[in-house]
Amino acid sequence: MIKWIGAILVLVSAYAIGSLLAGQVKEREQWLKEIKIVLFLLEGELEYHQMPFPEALQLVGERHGGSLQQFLCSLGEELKKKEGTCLQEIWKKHSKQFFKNTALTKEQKEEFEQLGSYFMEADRVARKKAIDFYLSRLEEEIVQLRETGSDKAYLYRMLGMLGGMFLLILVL
Amino acid sequence: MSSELYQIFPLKLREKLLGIDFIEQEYTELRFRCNGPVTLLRGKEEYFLHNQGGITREKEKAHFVSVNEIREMMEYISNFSLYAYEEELRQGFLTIEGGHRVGLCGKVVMQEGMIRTIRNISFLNIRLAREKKGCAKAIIPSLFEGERLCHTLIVSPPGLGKTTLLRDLIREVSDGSKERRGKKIGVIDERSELAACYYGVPQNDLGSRTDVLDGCPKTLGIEMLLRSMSPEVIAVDELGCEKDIQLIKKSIYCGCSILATVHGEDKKQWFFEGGMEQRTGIELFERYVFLKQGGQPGVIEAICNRMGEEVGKV
Repeated sequence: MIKWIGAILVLVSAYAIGSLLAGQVKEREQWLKEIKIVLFLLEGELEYHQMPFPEALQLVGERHGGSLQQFLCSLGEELKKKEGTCLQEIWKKHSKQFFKNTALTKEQKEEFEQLGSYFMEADRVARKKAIDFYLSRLEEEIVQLRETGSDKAYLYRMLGMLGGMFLLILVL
Repeated sequence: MSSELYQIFPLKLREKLLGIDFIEQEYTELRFRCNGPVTLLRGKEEYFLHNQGGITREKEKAHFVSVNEIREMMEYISNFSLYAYEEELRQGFLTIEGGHRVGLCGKVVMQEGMIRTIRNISFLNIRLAREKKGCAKAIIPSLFEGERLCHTLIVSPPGLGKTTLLRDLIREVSDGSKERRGKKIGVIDERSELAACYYGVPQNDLGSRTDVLDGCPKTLGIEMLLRSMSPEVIAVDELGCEKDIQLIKKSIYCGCSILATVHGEDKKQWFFEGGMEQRTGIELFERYVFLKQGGQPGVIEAICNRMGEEVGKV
């Protein structure tokens, strides 16, 4: 009896791991979409309203809400203090803390950490180009995730279940 | 050191600058050149920032500024918003909280024969703003004919306090006194030096009846002010080209009194060696205030009428 309960538990756990990984693919897409929207809004505030960067971060954070609200508001707050640390470092620190337990890949996190330096570009054209380039890369990744995401999620779930079965065969 | 100035330095520099009160100790300029020593100027005296903190006269013991420190300073100066200062960068300077002016040098980016921006900023010159309240009080009676303020031009070489004097003159005329009612003044602050507006808020006291057009070219500002604010007095700093003077000429006939400054040498050169004649239209001013050279900035040498005769006591 205990053997069968154990076997069911192994199967359920393996399937749950597969589902978790599948969920992360969906979550990753959501994060990338969120970053894209926020960057659009931020770029709009900088380009058309010439708003100071800390205020623009907080305004976009409060107005848009969403999952990035806390990141934007706390970053804006720290910049306002002007404690003698440069934007790139503060941006990096906040990004690392905030995205630590998210579904983004290591490369995606690193790319986002570099984003801070683009905003200190004095030349409007150069800044816009750099941010547009980042946005186009984001768009590509989102499209890719949308196209292959459901397949990947299905694959992870199946792998989880089959992995569980394989384990059972080995053990039993 | 005033806190708003303190905030533009990176942490390391802040620690070394602690204890130096630039305003109290009458420093006029702070210069930061990449890989060069931090230089502090007080009049013509030159000091360096000691690498352990405090000041020194020995260059070898000075703190040498790195390119990164200058880049960081630019971030703080612009409140992490360099993009918002595109126009100022093009002009080569920007004004920070407290009214201090930061001059910039670096790699100039050109586009179609015009300066698009300055990149890789590696040289900074912070000119410390200082209000000298009351420095114009003594000359006010000589500038009035009854209730009317004469068209007045302050003449001196650079660095002798023309702008400081004009700023105080604006405040005095605007606030008025027991003997004279205050006048509505429109200030065209092309280089943000008079009011030193920071995000639209004047950092210097220009009086209670003063309106400021910040960052506006003189050529456009005078008509804008006349149409929108009906000033009794218009104040502008540093008349330069022929066009400026022609515009002043036009506004003199609009019924406004003019307060202005111009670069010139001294009374002798101005009236007797052709200084005034070279600038057609400038003879329309009724009072010429000359500043003393060689001593403290802002000390008045003479006030003359358009014939070169001294008017009133200094």
